[in-house]
Amino acid sequence: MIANGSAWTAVNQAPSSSPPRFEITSVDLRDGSSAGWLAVIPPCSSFCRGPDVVGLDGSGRPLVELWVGDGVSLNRVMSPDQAHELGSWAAQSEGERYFAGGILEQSTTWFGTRKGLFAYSPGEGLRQVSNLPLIPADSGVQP
Amino acid sequence: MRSDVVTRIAQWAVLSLSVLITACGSATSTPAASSSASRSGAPATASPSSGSTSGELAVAAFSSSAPGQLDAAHGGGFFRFPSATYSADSAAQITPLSDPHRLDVWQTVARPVLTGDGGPSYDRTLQRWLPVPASQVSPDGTHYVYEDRISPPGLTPSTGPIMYSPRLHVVDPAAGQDRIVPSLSLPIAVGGVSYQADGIYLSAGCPGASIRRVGL
Repeated sequence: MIANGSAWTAVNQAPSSSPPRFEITSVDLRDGSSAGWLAVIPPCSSFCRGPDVVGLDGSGRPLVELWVGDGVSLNRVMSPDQAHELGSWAAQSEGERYFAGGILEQSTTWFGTRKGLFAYSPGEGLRQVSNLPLIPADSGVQP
Repeated sequence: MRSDVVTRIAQWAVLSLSVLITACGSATSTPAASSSASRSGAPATASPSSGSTSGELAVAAFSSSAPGQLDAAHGGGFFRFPSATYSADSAAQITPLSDPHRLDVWQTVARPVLTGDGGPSYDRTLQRWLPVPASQVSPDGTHYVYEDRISPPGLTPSTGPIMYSPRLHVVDPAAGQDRIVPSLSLPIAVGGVSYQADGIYLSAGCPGASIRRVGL
């Protein structure tokens, strides 16, 4: 995800033959400097999936999707290595992200999932606003 | 137009853009590790709620096909809140382009026909649907960028294995212009594309992922 002059990446720091060890990293696009935000070692059985930055909140903090087996959670990273879980769900990873869209409008971040549409704001928390499988798709300048 | 590599991250770097995740496989089949992220706070399970704000959000419909399968069409519409009502918009429909020489290309059904690589997203500036994800639309809504992959001249999939080449298009819908970015400024494999105020950012494919800016 690229926004506000930074690229947010999920970096697997482990050697190729080792179990994955991820770090959520922000890269400053002006000078290439990077900073680690969250270390993630996903517990793996037959399949494991790394984290994804799926959006930013109104303060520019990353919202991160984490997988544990057949469960997924959405987490707000408050500061380096300080994350707060906003919600969790049973899900099949199936090689694709659970949350899609990740659009920030004013102070609300919108997410789509196959099981419904979600909105997050620091004041109101995470809310599922619809059971329809919709992806936020607004772009351009608001009228 | 100029192109410069903004930063090169190490070989294990993986941009968290969906296209590149698929291409580079942040999902692995490596067995058994331990623990999880350091995090705090009580788990919560969200439930449907209308919330206190009001307005309208353009939305695309998830494809009905299984993950990894191609779709015949995508659509979208508008979600209004707090009433939590969804209205499909026929103008949001996009369909795959039938051209064996160009891969992963979609077109709008609405006219004038626009070409892109997915979506759709709704452009508030132009007040029309575009055949790209919202991240590929310029912040002012006047342009969008998309990637297609083309086969060498004279070759088709029926003639054997083909190495497709990526091309990057910058489109000005109002002017009806579709400009191809010179291929020398592109990585061999484009993983993800993001249109920002200071240019277009590309993530190169793995391994050796990098972020590259194409200035405009």
